[in-house]
Amino acid sequence: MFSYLLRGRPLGARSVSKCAIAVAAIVLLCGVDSAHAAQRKMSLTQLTTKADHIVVGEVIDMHCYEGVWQAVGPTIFTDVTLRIEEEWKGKVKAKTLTVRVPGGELADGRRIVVSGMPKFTMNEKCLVFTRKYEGTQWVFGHMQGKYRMKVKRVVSKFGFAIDKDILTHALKPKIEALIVKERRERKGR
Amino acid sequence: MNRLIRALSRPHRVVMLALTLATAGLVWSWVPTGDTWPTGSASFRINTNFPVGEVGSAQDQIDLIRCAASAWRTQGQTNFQFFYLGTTTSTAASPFDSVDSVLYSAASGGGSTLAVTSSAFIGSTSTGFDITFFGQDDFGDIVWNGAGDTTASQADILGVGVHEFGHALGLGHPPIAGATMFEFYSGLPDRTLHPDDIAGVQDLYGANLSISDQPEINDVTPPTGDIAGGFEIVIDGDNFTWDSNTTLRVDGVIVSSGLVACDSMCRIRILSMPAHAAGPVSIRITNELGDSTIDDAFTYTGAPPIGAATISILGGGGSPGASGVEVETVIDSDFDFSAYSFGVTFDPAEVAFEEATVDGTDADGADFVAVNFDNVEGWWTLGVALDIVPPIVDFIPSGLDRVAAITDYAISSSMSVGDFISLNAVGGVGDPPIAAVVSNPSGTSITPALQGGLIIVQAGGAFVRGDGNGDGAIDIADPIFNLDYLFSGGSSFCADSQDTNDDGAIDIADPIYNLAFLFSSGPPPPAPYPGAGSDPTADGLGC
Repeated sequence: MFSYLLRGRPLGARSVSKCAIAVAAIVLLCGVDSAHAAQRKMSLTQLTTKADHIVVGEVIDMHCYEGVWQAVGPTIFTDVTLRIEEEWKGKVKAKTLTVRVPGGELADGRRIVVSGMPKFTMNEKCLVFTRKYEGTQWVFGHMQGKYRMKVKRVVSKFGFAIDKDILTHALKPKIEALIVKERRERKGR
Repeated sequence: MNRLIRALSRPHRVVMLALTLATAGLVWSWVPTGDTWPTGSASFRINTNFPVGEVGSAQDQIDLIRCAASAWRTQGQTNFQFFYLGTTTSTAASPFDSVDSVLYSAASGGGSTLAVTSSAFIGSTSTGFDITFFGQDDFGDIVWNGAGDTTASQADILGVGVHEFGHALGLGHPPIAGATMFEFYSGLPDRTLHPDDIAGVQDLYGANLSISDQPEINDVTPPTGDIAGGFEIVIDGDNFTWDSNTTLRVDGVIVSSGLVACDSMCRIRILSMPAHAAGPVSIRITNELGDSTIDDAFTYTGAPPIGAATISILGGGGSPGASGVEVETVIDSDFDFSAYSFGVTFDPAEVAFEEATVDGTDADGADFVAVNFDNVEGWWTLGVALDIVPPIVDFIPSGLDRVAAITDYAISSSMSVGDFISLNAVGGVGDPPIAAVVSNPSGTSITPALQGGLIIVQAGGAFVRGDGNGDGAIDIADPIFNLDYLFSGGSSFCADSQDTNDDGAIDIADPIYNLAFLFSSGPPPPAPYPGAGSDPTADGLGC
């Protein structure tokens, strides 16, 4: 069976299978990252229709630097570069997509943690909703727009092992349906 | 559920929390950010640049944000404490600067973000934080509430503030939807800490059970008020919540929920205090955090109502041109009274004030009587104090029809029989204006009800011409009475009877005519002499 883990949460004895069953339904309701927020909950429809890009990719680079978040003030940013594996919405010219995330740690030891921001780790595979904000692509909805994907090896009913990502398979048709609906509504206008 | 949990004692809550978490497979649900304040405290400044129309004045903003910060110590029963250092004009959060600030940014924070906390560290040591509340998100404007409950279209600055200060002290997001530190905003409930939030802050900084986690009243402003009620009081304290979860009692009696306003977790207002007898009363507050009663929290002052009184002008009557038309003013009172004042207005074209006296009334012998009048503007006033030397012992006993004044009026000769002349009992006329007041011997006064009266213009009364003094006989006393009236300031009883020769005027000819009739075989007085009757001659005199 495929499942995903809620990153950063001490799952303990919680049944992975229960999480797997529930994930498709609640993944966007509960969030999947341990970042901090005072945010209003967004629906899958809001996330999908407002996002410029929806991609599945792997984190291949993370770069921290000092910058200015115009709405907030001086901060440390982390530019996260994803190698794109799937594009569900939007067209990215390159094979990679870089998103800016507030917070990070500089080489001199200074570190800023910003509540509500998604956390990335190198080589992590994730589904990301992005939207242009302050001149560049950010994770849309911050923590709400990033989903870590866990591929789990299971034994198929035919007796051989397969790798399956239940998140991708559960969400993709829903998101594609929302995109089609959005396009129709745009044409209708 | 939170209410149920709160109803348990703290040890029971801890056990229940442990059981709950164990059942869920989680020993601890609260999530640390991994860094804490080594001193067990943090300080902050506030930029009062929030929209005044939404959040309120600069002081309102300070009060609300300080209250959000203090919730962690008062509700959380922890040693950790935020210290407010004053205001700042910094408009940019910069966690590595020396100012830890809470401020408002009119810009969007992206997505559906209401606020963010930026925490700075060097290594694993917390060095600063800034909290930014946003004015927009990707869906439009964010409207913040000020004091009081939020509406559906507003974001609760208190609940979001508690959440963000939780980040500042080192807490992340637990997977518990009822927790203030849960990742999504839930409105008013975010103002109160969930046991999981409390467990988190106590584990990071230690518990301090000497701090009450019950609602606490620290100050009542004003501390006293009149027994009549109807005024607002402000209750400052800790661990208040919001309107629908709050019940307030004054001296055990529930104050209508419409009259209670929870401005914040630190301030409640009773918009209109109930009337109550003089003396101290308790105030009891009940909410989901607990139930506290503060004895003698507020003191009612003032004397009880002394009763009611009515000043009434009784009717009178007189003929056109008549003077000395007597009208009584009476007071009906529920209480003994020792002083009173009032005014009377009238149409000066219809009637003129002549005099007012308390002689022969219930106030006869009063220490102080003051009469003022103006026959051009048409008013007169009276002030009476029966006793002006303390102790005040003279008073008119309560009851009906206590005669307060006898007033003489002169009816204009232009009035016609059958006309009515209005006399209006009033307060506030004269110079200086005289209030309508009735006072008891203790000096407590009330404003009485006022009842006006009428003078009915009647045909002249029956009289005997020549009987000037009205004693029923024509004799030497009558010309003497006339002479006294004409030359020595004597009073007039009936002008028509004094007009012995019926020439329409009272002058020296009248007593001469009278003397001639009595002693020199002069002609008798004209009709109605020798009998009594009305004046058959049209003139300006009356009776």
